Amino acid sequence: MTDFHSLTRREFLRAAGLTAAGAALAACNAPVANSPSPAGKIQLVYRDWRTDWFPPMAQQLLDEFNATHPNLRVYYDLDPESSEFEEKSLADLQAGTAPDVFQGCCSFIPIWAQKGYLLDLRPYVQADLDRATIEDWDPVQYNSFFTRDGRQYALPKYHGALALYYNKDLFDQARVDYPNDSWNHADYLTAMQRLTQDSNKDGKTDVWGSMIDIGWERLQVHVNAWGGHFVDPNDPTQSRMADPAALQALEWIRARMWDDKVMATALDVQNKGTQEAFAAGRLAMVEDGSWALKGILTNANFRIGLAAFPAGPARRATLATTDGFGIFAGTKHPDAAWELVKFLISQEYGRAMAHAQFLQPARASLVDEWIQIVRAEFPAKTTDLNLAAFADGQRKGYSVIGETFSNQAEAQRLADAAWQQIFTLGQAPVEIIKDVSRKIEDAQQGFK
Amino acid sequence: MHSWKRWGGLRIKIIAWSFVPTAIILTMVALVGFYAYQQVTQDLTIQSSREVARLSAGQLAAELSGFSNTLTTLARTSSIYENNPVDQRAALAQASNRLVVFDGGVLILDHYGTVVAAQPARPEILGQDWSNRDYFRQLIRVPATVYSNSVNDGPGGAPVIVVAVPISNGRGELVGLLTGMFRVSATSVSAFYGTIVRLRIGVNDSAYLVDHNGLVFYHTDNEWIGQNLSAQPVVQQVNSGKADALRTRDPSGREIVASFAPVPGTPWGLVTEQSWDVLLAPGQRYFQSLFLLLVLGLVAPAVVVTVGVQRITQPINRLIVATQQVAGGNLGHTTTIQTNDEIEELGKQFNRMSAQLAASYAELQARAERFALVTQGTNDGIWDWDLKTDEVYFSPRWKSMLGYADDELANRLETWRGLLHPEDVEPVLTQLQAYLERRSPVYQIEIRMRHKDGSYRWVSARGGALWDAQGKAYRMTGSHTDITERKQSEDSLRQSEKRFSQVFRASPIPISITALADGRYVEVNDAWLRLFGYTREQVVGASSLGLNVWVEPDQRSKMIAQLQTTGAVRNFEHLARAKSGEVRDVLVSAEVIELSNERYNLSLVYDITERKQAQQELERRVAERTHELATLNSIAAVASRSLDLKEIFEDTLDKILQVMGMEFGAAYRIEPSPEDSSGQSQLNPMVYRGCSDESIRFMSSLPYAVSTFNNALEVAATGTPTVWEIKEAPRGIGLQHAMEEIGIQQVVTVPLTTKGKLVGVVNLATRKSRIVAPEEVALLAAVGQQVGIAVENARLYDQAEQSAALAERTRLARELHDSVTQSLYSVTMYAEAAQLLLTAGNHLTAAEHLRELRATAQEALGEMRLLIYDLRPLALAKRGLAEALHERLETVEARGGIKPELQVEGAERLSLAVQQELYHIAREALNNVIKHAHAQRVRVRLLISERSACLEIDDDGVGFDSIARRGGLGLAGMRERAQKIGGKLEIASAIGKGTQIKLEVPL
Repeated sequence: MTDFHSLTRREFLRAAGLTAAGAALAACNAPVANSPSPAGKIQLVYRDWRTDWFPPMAQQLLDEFNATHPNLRVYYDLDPESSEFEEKSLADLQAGTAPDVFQGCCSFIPIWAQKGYLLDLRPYVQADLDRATIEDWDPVQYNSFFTRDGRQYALPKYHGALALYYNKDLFDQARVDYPNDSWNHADYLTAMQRLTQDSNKDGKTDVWGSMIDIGWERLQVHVNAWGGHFVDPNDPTQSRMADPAALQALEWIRARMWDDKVMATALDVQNKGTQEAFAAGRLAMVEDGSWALKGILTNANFRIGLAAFPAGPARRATLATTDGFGIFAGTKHPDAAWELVKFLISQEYGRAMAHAQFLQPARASLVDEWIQIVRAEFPAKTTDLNLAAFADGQRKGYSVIGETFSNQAEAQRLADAAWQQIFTLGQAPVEIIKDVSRKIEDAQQGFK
Repeated sequence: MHSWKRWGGLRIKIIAWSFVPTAIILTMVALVGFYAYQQVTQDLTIQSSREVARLSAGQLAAELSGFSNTLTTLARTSSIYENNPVDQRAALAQASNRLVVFDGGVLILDHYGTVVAAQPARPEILGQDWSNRDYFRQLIRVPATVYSNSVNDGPGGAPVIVVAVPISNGRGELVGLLTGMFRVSATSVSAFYGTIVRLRIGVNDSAYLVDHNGLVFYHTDNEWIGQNLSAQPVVQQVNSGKADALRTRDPSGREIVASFAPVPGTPWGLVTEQSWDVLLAPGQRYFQSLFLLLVLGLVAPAVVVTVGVQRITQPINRLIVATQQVAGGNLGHTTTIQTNDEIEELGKQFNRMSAQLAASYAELQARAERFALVTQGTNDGIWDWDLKTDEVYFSPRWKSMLGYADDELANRLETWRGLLHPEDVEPVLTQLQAYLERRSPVYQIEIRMRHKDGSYRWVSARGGALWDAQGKAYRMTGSHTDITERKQSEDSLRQSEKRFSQVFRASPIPISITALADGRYVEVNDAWLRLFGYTREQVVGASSLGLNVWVEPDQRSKMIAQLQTTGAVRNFEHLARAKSGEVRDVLVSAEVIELSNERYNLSLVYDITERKQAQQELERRVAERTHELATLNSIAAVASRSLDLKEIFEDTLDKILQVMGMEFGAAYRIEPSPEDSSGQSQLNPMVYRGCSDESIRFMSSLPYAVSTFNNALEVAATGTPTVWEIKEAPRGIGLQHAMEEIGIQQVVTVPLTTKGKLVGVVNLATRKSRIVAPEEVALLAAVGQQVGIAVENARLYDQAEQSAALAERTRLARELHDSVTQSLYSVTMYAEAAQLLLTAGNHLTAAEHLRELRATAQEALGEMRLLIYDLRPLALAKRGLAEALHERLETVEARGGIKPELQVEGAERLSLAVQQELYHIAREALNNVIKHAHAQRVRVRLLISERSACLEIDDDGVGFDSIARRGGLGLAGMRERAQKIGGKLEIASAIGKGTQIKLEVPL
């Protein structure tokens, strides 16, 4: 029996192995032999802000790109409008009809990354980008494009930072000293109180001391200045929005809008954006970023000043924006999309954005050139303009980026509703944030 | 394996008849199944492609609605529908950002088809009548969103796709239409193409959009844009409103599935083309699985059949293999077959047969092995003689015994006969014949046979025969044993015994052989007979005890016991008695030997009698000499230790009287006679023994030349003692008579000399005259020289003492003159002056002189005390340096008003000589303090270590200039004494700073 078993087992296994190997070989060979190759050029879609200035710039540069990449054809997707950008793009991502390459920023691009809509760029970065290129970017901005589990979902587009624009003419009229680097929020408040005016004495304020664009990061900067956080730095599922420091910071802003009425709401300036309201002379100061520079310089007919963001009771903080380029995870052509991204993060593209809209380049090596570009176009208005104020946070190390929850989408939805009640409409006290904070934490269940 | 087994074997036959039909059937079934599957797959693929095309067209329409919605929203603004061209243009400009998606621009046509506004501005077409445009007409007919074919209405006549929406006023009346245009074949910025591309239609292969005219305005390969495909069947079908899929070929001949569907709400058709192979790729996997199943369907039965057949054929094969094993000599090989059928029974029978074969073979082999073992074990050569054929089997050992290999000797009787020694041929044949004829019961003989090397070997031949019924031997077997070595040993032994006998008899050393059991002499040699004086006949057969050889019989017992224990005895010393009775010291070395199985004692005897006697004489002489030397050393020790002549003479006289064994003795010192001015010397008796005072006085009265029997000069010159008999004494002076009175017979005069000069005499006398040995004379001479030196030393010591006393007296005189005398003179002068002043009434000055007088007197008193102290004998040897210094300081310094301090450590380690020098240096230093320092305090420190002695003396006196003053104050003497004992003296002083003296002496 022993002989029988050992002999037959060997023979059986040998025969079965040969049969299986033959079948597997046939299975492998079949599709390879008949695999078709794609016909024609690879077509990609690229989406960015649909501003007035962007399409012409993109048209020119993408024509160059298409010319230098004969196997690629990139279409710049003008749809949707900027106001619908976040919402429409999210819908496209969910439907699988998103562009191959797109820009993103603020709190929504981390949300997209958390949902897995963005391609992990690490293999491409490691293969194609040298150390000098990476070190040319602000590390705070560069490192913001990583998820907590280490996936890299974007690369810097440009470098935006908040600063305090001010109207020198209004300051001079009110005999108020210009802001300087030693300013804190108390100085800020005093100045706002002295600059808020009812010029025609009709009982309505004509000039407001300042204005803030009510949004996640803009408010967060003030909370940070009070020593607080929206999100627990050590646990993205834990909210710190109900901490005393956060509540005090938010109350300070609310009080300026609705108690002192020295800080304008959107309703006060007829739903204008901060940039437009400031350029229209309705604001003595405005908290805005470098991305608004060209608009303000173009449209303002008064002398403009720039200062670093005022320090809070606990620290000084300013926002470093996280605008970047990412690739749709569902793209059929990831390698071609990476080629396009490399072009978008190039010095050429950064230089073009600096020329077109004074966007401060993400690459540090282009900053001096950017300043020259700005001064060359507006020599009179920028004679004594402190452009370095935009780089103050980066240079002194107090820049912050937007804090995000694990489930940031729901957190932001809950917060936006509260912001509107508290700040835009003035119909709720800051204490409602405590309840919002609990709900946000509840919404983090199941998210890491 | 043979080929017939591979192809015609039982296994192949069974497989062929059972498996092949099954395989054919399975293959047929598989082919039919595959054909059916392929048909179904194709149908499903085409249907699926058709549905995908239809859905994609619907999705595209939905995406495009976003653009039309933008236009519709704008058209519903009052500035547009109120039909004021100016307002309309302004509204378009204001909405330029939203309208930017229309890269071909936006136009407004009034309800007559006239172009009234454009964004961006196109003044060249304003007012043109575009009522002939299809999209205008269509919209007029049905006021709803219209998508056009590709038309050349774009800027500069560029081809565009137009999206038109109706503009209705508040009453619902159509007042115009708002059109947005997308450039056909846009290069990079295009919302229209971006939207289509984002849908990823045909991304895996190709897709295109054609207008109703068959013109391609979108294609995944841009090269196709602008081409007219109206002739293509699929384009014709889609433009006829059909949605379907066809299996066809593309222009390159590739087999494809073309799916098409109209885009809802547009005149366009969407066509997608996918490679037939790609579409079937998923199905291929199923086909492969089917193929795999077919293969498994063939292989599995094949395996099962193979295994089944193998279960049948394998036991048979195993049986065949076992049979081959047995046939090949592997008897007893068995096989295991468990099939529960006839094959298993066949296997059992085979195993039984194999076992029986193995047992039979084993028994046969055992017999053969036993024979081989016997042959090998005996180490004998075996022979086996067939008397009928005269063939003889000689075993290999039989041949190798004679140096031959097995194949070098023929197995014939002549071989044996030819190798016999010629002298042994006849005896061996005779005995063999006698045995074969049964006249002799055995055949056994020692013979010589020739070796291959030509030598002969002794062989012991034995054998036995078999006889037939007639009593005739027909077979004989036997053996040969090589006994050559035994024969050679016996010969060697005989030679050895002969040589031993010759040595035994010729040896000069007495040798005996006695039986160990009873001491009976078996043999003795001639030397033994000469030593003990016996004849051989008297000794052989007698025992040593019987001959009374052993003076101490216990010694024999002791030696025999040792011999029996260890087998040998070396250098056993005992006393042996010769036949004459003379006892001799002998040294015996014996060994046990064995002769004829009996143990004997072979003894070699050495006569050491004379050697022993010589040794005893030598020991006696050494003892005597040692005693003499001890005496001389004793005398010399006393002479060198003491300066007391009387002690020396007493000790010397006592010892030499004892050594010489004499009763009388007297020692004299030769001194000049006080009465004789001529320098004649006389004997001064120092000590005497056994003599009367009268006889000593008599002897002393004699001139010493007489007392030494007139040979004083000779004695002085040679220093040799003289032995003389009393009868040789000078006559006539009563000397002889005086000696005879006390019975003295013999006198020995021993001169005491030093440097050839006679300084004394020792006379020894005895009543019994005897011969004085030269060694005794030499001893006495040595004693005389030793004592002579002692006498001379004592004389020189006395002389030195007298010189020292004279020097001390001189020093005292000088000291008295220099110190006390001067002081007393001053006292006298002050006293005289005071007397005169008192007389004159000058009391104050007189009192001053009296104070000076007192001071001077006190100074004189101190100096006197110092002199008196110095006169006292110094007894360092008894009291030691520390005590001497202490006494000095207490006696002199303390009483002189100076506070002394003394610190001494370890002074007992110093020799007397060093102590004396240190004391004198200290005394000189202290004298200087007393005389010159005017000190209040003086400190003396004497610190002695193992390596050095350190003496320090310092005071707090006035000091002196040590640099300017190199001499005086006894400093030179102090340095001299320091150098004498190898010391180093340092003196430090300054005016007003006291004086410090330090002396360091290495030990």
